[in-house]
Order: sequence, then C-alpha cells, then structure tokens
Amino acid sequence: MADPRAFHGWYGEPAAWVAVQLPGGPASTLGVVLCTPLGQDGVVAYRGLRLLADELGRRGIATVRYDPPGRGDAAPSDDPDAVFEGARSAAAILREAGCSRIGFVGLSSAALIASVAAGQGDVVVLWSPPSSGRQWLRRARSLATIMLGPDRVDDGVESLIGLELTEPQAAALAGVSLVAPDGSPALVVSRPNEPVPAGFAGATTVEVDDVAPFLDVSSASSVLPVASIGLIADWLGAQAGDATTELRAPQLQAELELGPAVERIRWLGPDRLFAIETRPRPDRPDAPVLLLNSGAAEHRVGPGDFQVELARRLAADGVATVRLDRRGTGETGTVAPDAPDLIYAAEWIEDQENAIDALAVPADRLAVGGLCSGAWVAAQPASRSRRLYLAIHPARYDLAPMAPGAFVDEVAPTVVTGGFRLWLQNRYRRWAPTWVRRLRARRLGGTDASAFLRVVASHSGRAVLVFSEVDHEIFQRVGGEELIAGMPNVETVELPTIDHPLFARRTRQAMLAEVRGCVLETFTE
Amino acid sequence: MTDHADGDLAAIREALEKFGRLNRPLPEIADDDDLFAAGFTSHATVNVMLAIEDALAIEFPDELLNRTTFASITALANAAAQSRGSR
Repeated sequence: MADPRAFHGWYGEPAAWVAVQLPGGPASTLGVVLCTPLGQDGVVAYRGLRLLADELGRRGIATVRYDPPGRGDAAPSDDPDAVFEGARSAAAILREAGCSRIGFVGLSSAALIASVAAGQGDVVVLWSPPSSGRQWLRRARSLATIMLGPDRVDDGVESLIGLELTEPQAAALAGVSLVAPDGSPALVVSRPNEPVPAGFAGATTVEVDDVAPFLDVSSASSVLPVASIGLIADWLGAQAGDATTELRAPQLQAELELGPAVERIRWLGPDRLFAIETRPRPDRPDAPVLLLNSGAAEHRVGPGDFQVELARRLAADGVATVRLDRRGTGETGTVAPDAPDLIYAAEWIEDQENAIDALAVPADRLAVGGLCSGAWVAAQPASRSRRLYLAIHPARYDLAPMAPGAFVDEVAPTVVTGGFRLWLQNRYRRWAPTWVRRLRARRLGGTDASAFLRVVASHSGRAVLVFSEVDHEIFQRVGGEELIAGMPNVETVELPTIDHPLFARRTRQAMLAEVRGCVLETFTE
Repeated sequence: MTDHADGDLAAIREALEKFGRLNRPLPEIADDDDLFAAGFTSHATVNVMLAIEDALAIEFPDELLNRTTFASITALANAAAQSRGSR
C-alpha cells in the first residue's frame, strides 16, 4: 500500500485541532475517530494513539486524532459539551472525506467521549474504560488529591492531573453512562480485573495487560502497548471490510485565529520537526521569539496545556512562541515501538539547533527555554547565543548528552534489542524500587554544575532558572547558588511548591506569571 | 488502632492482589510492611482504594487521601475503619 497521507490543521467553530490520516491507496468506507483522553493521560498516550492510527492506515482505514475545543492546540472553549463536540467534528471530517461508516475508539476517560459521540450503528471500541462518568471522576479526583493535596480548587476551577475542569464540565463528564448504541458492533479492551461497563455487556471483550505500563506512568517511561494496538487494529480491520473507496483530502484551516494571536503549523529543519508557532496579531516582523522545549517525552502542549496558554498570552504581549515536537515526540517522525527514548540525548540538541536555524531569528530577539529535560536541551550551547535562557524546573546539570535510551533503559543492557529489551524495560520500570531509581537519577544528574552554568552565562544575555522547592534543593546540593554568585546575568527564582510536573493549576498560573514577566522584562529593557 | 476485622484485612489483601502491582508476592508482605517500598504507585493506590470501597461498601473521605493512608495494610485497615465511622 502507498504511504498514508497526513493532514494537520484546525476544523469547526470553535475549532478543534486535528490530525487526519488517509490510507495511501483505496480506503475502507469505515473511518475511525481516536478520541483523546483527558489531561495527563492524553499527553502520555499521544504516541500510542499515533501508532494505532498508523496501524489502521495499513489496514485501509482513515483516522482522525484531535484536540477538542478548550484543550491542547484547539481554540479556547469552556463549553461543558466541547469534549464531545470535538469527537463529532472529527467524525464530520471523515464523512466529508467520503467515509460512510464511523468508528470511535476511546481510551480511559476518552471512553466516555466515544460512548457519547457514537450514534446508532457506529462502531465503538472502549479501551480500559471506567464503568461510568461518575466512577471516572471519583478516580481522577482521588488520584489528584493523593498527588496534589486536598486544596485543588482555584478560582472555581478544579485541578485534576494535568487537567482543569469547571463545575459544569465536571458535571457533564460525571453524567455519562456508558451504553452501546443500538446496532453498534462494540469491543471492550480491559485491564485485568477491570469490569466491563454494564451498558456494553453485549460487546466483544478482551483482557490485556499492557495498559498500566502505557498509561499509569510518565511520558518518559511509558511503554507503547503494541499488543493492545494490534488487537484493536485487527478487530477494526475486520469490521472495515474491503478497501475500495477513494477518499478526498479534508478541508482544514491552516491557521487558528485567536484575536490578538494567530497560530500556524511549521515543519522545521531536515527532520521536519512539527511545531506550532503562535504570533502576535497584527504581526510584528521584529517580534521576539521564544522557542519552548517540553519536559520529559511530552509533546508541544505541556502539562495541563501550560505551553499553549503561555504562548497565547505572550502573543497578546507582542512575543512569538514556537512549541516544538522533538524527535520521538508528538507529530514528528514516525512511531516505532522499539525506538529508544531520546531524553537527554544529542538528537534533541540537534533538533533545537535545526529549529533555530530554520526560524532564522537573530540572537538579540531569541529566547530559548524549556521545562525539566527541556531546560537541559535549551541550555546546550552549540554555536548559538540568545538574549534569554529560561529554565523551568531544571533538574540535570551535566551538559554531556546521554546515549539514546540510556535515561529510561537504565539497567537494560544496550546490546539487547527488540521484544526482549522491551520486556526487560517493562520489568525494571515495574519492579525497581523508587529509591534505586532516585539514586541512579542523582548519579546520572551529575554533581558539578559549574560547566553548565558557565555555558548558560556566557551564551545568554540573561539566564533565569525558576525552581520548585524540590528542584531548588537539587540546585543547592550541586552548589548552584554559590556558583552563580559571580555570574551577574544568571538569576534564580523559587516558587513555593513541590509540584515539579506542573500538574496543579495554581502552580501553572504562578509559573505563567513568572515566565511572562521575565520575558517581557527582558525584551522591553 | 490495632484490632481490625478479618473481613477488612481480607478485602484489602484481595484488592492489593488484584490492583496493587507490587513487586513482591503479597503473602510475603506483612501487615505493617511499607507498601511503597514494595512498588506501590499513585495510580495503583487509587485502584486499590476503589476496590476496597466496593468490597466494604465504604467511601474514603478526602482527608484520608494521602500517602500515609496507603503506607501499609494496617494503615489501609485503619482508614477503612475510619471511613466506616465517618458515614
């Protein structure tokens, strides 16, 4: 089969951000909407859903992945039904392309969305679904309380893990009963001991054991659930029948108008790194540009859409932002199950350099920043200087890159590849005690920050490191505060939080204010 | 609190067996052993809690949703008893 055709852009009003994949040759009349899980689940699952889209494409099935209005790269919205409307918009794209039958796949919280969006006769796949909207909310609130503490409501907005919900939004999700539409072929793929929702009692059911290592971990250590993906793709392939239809290219918006800002997709450098550029409207050709690197192996939106919100606020202030999917993340490149992670690897340094080259921004208008591992990438000197270096919750001060896979593999022998290597990684991630991981992380983190800080100071007009309490403790332990005493252009700020991943709204808002102030101060001096 | 209903302890152990994803066989874990040292994660704590709630027809109040509650089987049994009392 010919290579699939991929289309990215915005669709609908308010606009959802969409990624449409059409088979390269004749397609089935069945098109599948891959509903996006809410919050951090959606961030962690990103590449897994891309792999599922690829697998469906190989079976002649078109797919749409999307961010619904109000989430990720979509237009803002606080409509409680927006998450469901996003799925319906995605289905409309497939119908316009020529698909006469629609399937919905919902992973975790997205099972609620798939169940609501599916109509009579639509094909439905629920993948590790909650038993109801109420049960999902209870679970999500409990997890958030355990991880963030009981004080999770700020300004009428509740913080879950990487997700903000207003009361009406929470009520809309809690009110969902998972019921299979009449006449719908349905598959429920469950974790061990996970009950099948009562409303899907007539569905085909399969139990899998690869969901927890995929979803219940950080993006850095998430393992692609190859078995589940193959199983779901095969089942949908059986529903799809023969591929005999020629699909039309979807009509997507190339830009998202946001009043004082406009967003557009960029493909940067020789590796065609996917990026979203947010520019002031009306545009200023001499606008400063902030290049943002995500943390861990996350894609361009950041935790709780932090990077999206930052970019849009800065655009209103006259500053452009580029949010980058480095190799192995988001939309960039292909998804291969056995590809090593590139956290702290030289490839990400190269990606940053290629992005800066492609953007061609003079050093006096350039700011480079990032969150955690993204702050490490942003610190790398190569040949570039910049007006501002901005580190959000930095945690590693050894400039030397790690080999691809070294950060996550840790104990997995590098000579072992393929299925056994994945198995070994799985076992380690599951079994290694937390203290062993911390000890190893500390060793990998390096203990001498002097080279790191010298480079940051010499290559940046101004360098600002913003810490949570835990990150600051690490910085102090490596002697950071003493080292910067002789570096007048390096500043540190500690925010009163231990929320390193920026999961809580309150932390994100404080960070937004700090970073925004820092950028504006730098470029209006 | 040291005396726990056998039913509570059995339900807690069953929930841990099904959803705990611990790195040691459950029979080797004593009631006072540190569950986090045995690989208990935040996600697993919630799954275990929901299973205990279902089995014992209780609901853990918000003030018990912290790491201390999930530190050991004994701590979970104390929390279950407190939850029953708070209904």
